Amino acid sequence: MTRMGRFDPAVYLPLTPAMFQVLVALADGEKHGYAIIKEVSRRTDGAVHLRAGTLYAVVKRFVDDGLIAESAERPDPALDDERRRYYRLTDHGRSVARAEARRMAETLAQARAKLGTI
Amino acid sequence: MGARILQWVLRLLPGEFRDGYAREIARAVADQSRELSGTARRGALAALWWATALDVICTAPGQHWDILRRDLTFAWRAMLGRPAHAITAVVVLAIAFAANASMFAVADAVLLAPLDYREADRLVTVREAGRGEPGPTGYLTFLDLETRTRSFSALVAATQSTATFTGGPLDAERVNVMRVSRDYFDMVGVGPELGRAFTDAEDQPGAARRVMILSDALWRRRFAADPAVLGRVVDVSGVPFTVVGVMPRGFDDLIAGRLYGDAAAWTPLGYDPAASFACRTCRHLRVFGRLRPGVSVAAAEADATAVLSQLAVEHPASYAGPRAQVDTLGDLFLGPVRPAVLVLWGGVVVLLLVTCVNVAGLLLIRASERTTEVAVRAALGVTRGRLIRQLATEAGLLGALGAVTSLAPAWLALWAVRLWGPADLPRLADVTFDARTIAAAWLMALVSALLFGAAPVVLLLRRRDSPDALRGAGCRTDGVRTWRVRTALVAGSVALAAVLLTGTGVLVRSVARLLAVEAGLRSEGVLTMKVWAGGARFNDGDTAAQVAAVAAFYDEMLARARALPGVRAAAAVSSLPLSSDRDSFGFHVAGLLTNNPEDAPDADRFAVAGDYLAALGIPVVAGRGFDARDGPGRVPVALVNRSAVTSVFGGEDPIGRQVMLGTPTAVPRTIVGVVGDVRHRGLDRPAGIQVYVPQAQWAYPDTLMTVVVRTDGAPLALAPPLRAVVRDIDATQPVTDVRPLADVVAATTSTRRFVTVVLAIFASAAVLLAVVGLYGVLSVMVAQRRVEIGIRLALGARADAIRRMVFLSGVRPVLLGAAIGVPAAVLALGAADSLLYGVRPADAPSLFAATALLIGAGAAACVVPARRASRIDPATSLRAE
Repeated sequence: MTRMGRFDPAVYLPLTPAMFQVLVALADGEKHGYAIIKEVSRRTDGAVHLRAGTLYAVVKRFVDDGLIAESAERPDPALDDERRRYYRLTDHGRSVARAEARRMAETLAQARAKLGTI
Repeated sequence: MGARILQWVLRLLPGEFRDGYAREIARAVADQSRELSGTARRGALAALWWATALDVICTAPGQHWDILRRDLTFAWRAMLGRPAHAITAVVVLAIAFAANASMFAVADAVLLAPLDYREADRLVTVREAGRGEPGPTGYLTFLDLETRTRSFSALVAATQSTATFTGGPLDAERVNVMRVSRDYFDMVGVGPELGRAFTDAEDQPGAARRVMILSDALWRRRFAADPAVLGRVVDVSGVPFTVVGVMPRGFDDLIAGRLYGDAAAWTPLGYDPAASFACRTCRHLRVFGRLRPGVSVAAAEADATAVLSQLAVEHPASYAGPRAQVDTLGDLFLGPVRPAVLVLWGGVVVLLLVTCVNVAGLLLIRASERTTEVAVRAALGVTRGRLIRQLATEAGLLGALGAVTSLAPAWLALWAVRLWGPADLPRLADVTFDARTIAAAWLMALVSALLFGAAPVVLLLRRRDSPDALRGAGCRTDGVRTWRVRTALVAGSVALAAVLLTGTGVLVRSVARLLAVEAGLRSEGVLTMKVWAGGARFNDGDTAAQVAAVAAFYDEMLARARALPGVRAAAAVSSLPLSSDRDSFGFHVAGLLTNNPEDAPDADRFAVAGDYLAALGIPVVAGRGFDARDGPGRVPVALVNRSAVTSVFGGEDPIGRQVMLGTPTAVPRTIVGVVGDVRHRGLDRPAGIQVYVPQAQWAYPDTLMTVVVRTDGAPLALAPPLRAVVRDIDATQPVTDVRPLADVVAATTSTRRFVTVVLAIFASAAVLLAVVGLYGVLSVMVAQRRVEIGIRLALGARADAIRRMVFLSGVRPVLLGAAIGVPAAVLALGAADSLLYGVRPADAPSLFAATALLIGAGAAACVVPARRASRIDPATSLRAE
């Protein structure tokens, strides 16, 4: 989303947990859908388990908004099904993920200030 | 199995999403399932499929909403781009939706809502129909029907009475009362809210029957809603009655309301079978019944007819061709108004169709301008389904805006209907603007959007792959097929307008004929009011003394009325013409007696006091009217009307002949005069046999008379002095139903006039829409063919030839529409035959006038575009190209 021609990540915040996890999962490189599901599950110790419907609803929205993009590059066909679609994080997507992480960190800091160590 | 379910569930997603991601979803689930292992794999696999299916089901609405939001935004922007188009369409739709929603509300309240009785569809009325028109029955007949028929779980008889409530801070008040046999409340299925219903013992002659059940309204008005009213003895016209019950609030007893003048209390019938008025030929009781479960109306009618046939064998002098007619209460009350409501409903539906056709034409013009846009989107890969969805959203938005805008005019229309709707329309007060009305408007919007949205969708989808459209040519000229569609739409809207216009024309002629009917009286300058003579002083002594007391009361009142300034004549009559009051008697002529007295014709009897013929302007055709010679104790006399002379005396002079009313053994009355016919039962019905007798010479007292006073001035100005006269003579006698006779006459045609006026409004709107639609289509055609016309003119075509070409291309669909619409109207009117009087559905003058008006209006709409086309400057138009 641009305002006066300049991209403003704050427009997308706050993200839902699923959205945030998808962006983070793509932060270290392009992945196909199932890989994103696995990555999220692994990284959160199974606490967040994305279902395929939810995942692709998020993917579609991010693709429409330009936060992620379908990758044109394919891995070696011997290593993967060439019909799979891979997604990568765009610069805008990365800014939004960072902005969300910052927002969560600030929220956490405020909570700590009030509640003490948690 | 799981995969199949998932495939099916994926169809819930919007096509756009499905095309992009359905395969991905399925693949992701397949990947997950491959990784499941172990003994519990089968269960885990099922859980995975189900969880994914559920997830897709939850995701789908959000995806649809996303698309809808985008389409709505797009549609809104598109509308803002052409605000005149959008506003015109929304306003036109709003008017049509409002008319439809309000008409639905009227039909819903009047026709569709169930009657306010338990299992109302099993409630019927039973009428004797052997002597022509179905009518009431005598008490002994009712008793036999009650005991011998097997079709009814309850059968009751009812008649009307009146009660005058006096005492307390309020003025004396006369209310109508229903006298009912004991099972009445069981029959209607609604019992008193306070107290109890009548007991068997109370439905017997004598003092025990003097109990009363009050309506909730009367209880609140007269007794301040005091629950202690139960057991209280109230003085009703000098007779003590004990209140034993109060009916529930909101109990809308249509029987009491429509047949017994809004009766506000019920008392037991309490007839003595031996009483003279209980005889079989004393047909004055209405009979109502509740059908046993599973018994049809036809079976009940056959059952009752069989009983009457048996009674005719047992009592041959009391029945002629006995037959019972059983009708549901719904048919009885709502049947007469059904054609009027259905005609109006049909009218608004036609108006809605005309509107849809016109909005479709409007959208078609707009669609022509958008073919390039749609072609470009199609070329960019937007699917057919996606395009249809977006175009449907645009039509839907238009419909929704129309529906929202329609709510205010619908509310106004219903307010107007309640205020000015015909008084004889039952349950008019129940017509309300409620959630059902709003729902009806929205449903109409949905259906309409489908109707008017279809044409542009078809056009745009056909054009989307056209190379011309992509080049931009599509926005300037339309193909032959598109013009055919537009011409068909114009013809369609003209045809629909023709249906309404022709229908209105025929109804207008029908009402005009009805209003031109000679009622047989002069209604202008006449005031009418009901005055009752009730109370102990009229019940003293024998019947003759009561008759004399009642006659003296009215005579004194009329004498004082005559002395009022401006009064030219004052009289009283037992049944006011064209009111719902009727009093029929067998008409037996000495020397012309029939073997079976029941074969004698019926006559409407009018007991009159004062100079009645002068007051109502009824002409004396032969002999004389009543005068001082015709008082009590003198030779009983009668006047008959012209129809009696024709139908009974074969046109011969009846003066001096003797007639007996009721039975051949009744008091013979010498006919002293013949008077003109009065259309007592309605302007659209023949007068029938009428007989007038002096009130003072009738065997029983007529205690409820309508006073009629002819004045030089405004009739209502006489009301206060006349009320004062009655109060002065006897302050306990209430005066009700004060109204000019002209209003009474007008009320008989109110439904027809209402239907005609409303249909005329619909027809005007439909014709206007059709004409504006035609004008719009021709204007667009001229604009789009500017270059072609310019070339024609440049090549030597004459301006008048161009004018004729455009004019004819507009008039052709008008002629086609009229050719279809006018015969269709004749067919439709055939179903509303009961609303017509004196004209046939195929009434030539109406058909001719409607056709001429349509063609004239259509031709007028073609004139300006035709002239504009003939004035195109070839040089300018070619340069523009």
